[in-house]
Amino acid sequence: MSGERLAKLLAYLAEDAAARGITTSSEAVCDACIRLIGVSGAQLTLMNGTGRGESRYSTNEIGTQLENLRFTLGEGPCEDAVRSGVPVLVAQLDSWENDQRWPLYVPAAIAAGARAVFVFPLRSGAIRIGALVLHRTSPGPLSPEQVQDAHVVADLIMSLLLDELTRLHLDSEVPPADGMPLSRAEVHQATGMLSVQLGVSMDEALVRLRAHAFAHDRSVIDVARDIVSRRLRLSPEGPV
Amino acid sequence: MSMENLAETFVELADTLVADFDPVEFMHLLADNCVTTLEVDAAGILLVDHHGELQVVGASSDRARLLELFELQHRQGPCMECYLTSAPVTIASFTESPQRWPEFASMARAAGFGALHALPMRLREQTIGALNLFTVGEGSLPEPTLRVAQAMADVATIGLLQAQVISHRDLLAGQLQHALQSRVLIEQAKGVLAERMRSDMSQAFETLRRYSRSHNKHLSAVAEGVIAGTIDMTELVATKDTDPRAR
Repeated sequence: MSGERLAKLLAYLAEDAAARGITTSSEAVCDACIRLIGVSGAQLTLMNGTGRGESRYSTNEIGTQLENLRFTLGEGPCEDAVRSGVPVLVAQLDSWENDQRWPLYVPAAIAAGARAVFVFPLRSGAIRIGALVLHRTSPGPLSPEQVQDAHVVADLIMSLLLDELTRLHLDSEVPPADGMPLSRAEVHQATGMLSVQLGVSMDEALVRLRAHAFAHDRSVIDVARDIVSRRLRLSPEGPV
Repeated sequence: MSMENLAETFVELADTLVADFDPVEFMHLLADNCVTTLEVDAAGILLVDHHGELQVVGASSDRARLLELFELQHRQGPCMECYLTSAPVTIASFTESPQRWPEFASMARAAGFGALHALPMRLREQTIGALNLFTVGEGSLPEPTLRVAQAMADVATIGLLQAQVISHRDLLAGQLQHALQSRVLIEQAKGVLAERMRSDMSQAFETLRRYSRSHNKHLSAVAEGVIAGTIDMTELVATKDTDPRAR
């Protein structure tokens, strides 16, 4: 089952990082995708303040070109996935249907060497921080297992990126990513409450929630429960 | 269980399976209909996410104790068992010992329930979650009622898998993601509302639902509006329910 899937992925990533003498990062996870999921390349698009998005990392030149196409043309699987918030899986770019759907993107992406593109949004409800864009140089679908793995990898990248933001609020080090899914109702509810208490966006509220938990050496879910039951309030100026 | 009620339920469910489909509203409608049609006391629909954890996507009530019972089954319990085996699981009594899931049983008793039925949500080879039915009284539900309950679980599954969320090209992964993400959005919006209205989560949820019904908007769209601040709070709180089902 998927608990094992996550454990397997984390073990693979730890091994991979150790072998290359690096620490696990969103970039390292992208590199690992190639063998782990069986694709030709992986690229990470992050949404920034401008709302247009920008490339954070690409494992190869094709990935960079696909991101440039998304940015300049404003269409394509990544645009659709980010806008809709659900995965867009295109096993064969070169088809009449896809030509109709993305008339500018498809011929340009094929010219760049891509034949299949699979996009997984980095998302938790209203929090949308970008997308993981995988591509292949030959057409063909991902297997159901590969799709599941890609979902888990996207969640992992999301928590690594949140860790980076969380560090900005902390003097101490963030605990290493445990890859825990942020899937408890209380965490989402507390994030919503915090966004009002602190007058910040949902993304920032989640980061502050995590920062508070790490700074007090507590689990995120425990802190979330205290916020929901109103035993704990965070103030805009106060320490984390 | 009346035949008239049953027919109405299926018509109502079928009505929601049109182009403009809101999976979360559909799941809540189904849970509500389970309670009225099957004469059970609470119902919930849990779908498995890509981490293999069960997530509540629809419940007949937002009572904290009921939701806790669903949450407790994230990774194990009768609902997970039902999902993993694709077969119904019945706990006819939470008081008899031994209990296979003692923690779950004692929480269920504390919440005032006597028995539970979990029915698989499956379509051909694929199982995507389970329908949970709680009764205050102990004992199994009659066989005909269980058959109807399974039919409702099947309708829910077909509804969810057939939903044309973005386009016909997007896969099952997309449909499930859509339902699960809509749920996250709603929880976040409940937090925003609860903090603004100084209410609890279940009042916040009822407010969202009332507004969604009276304005004929998707629950997830209302949730997005609350989070983005594009829905007027005063109007939201003042919205009266226009739907007799809610009473």
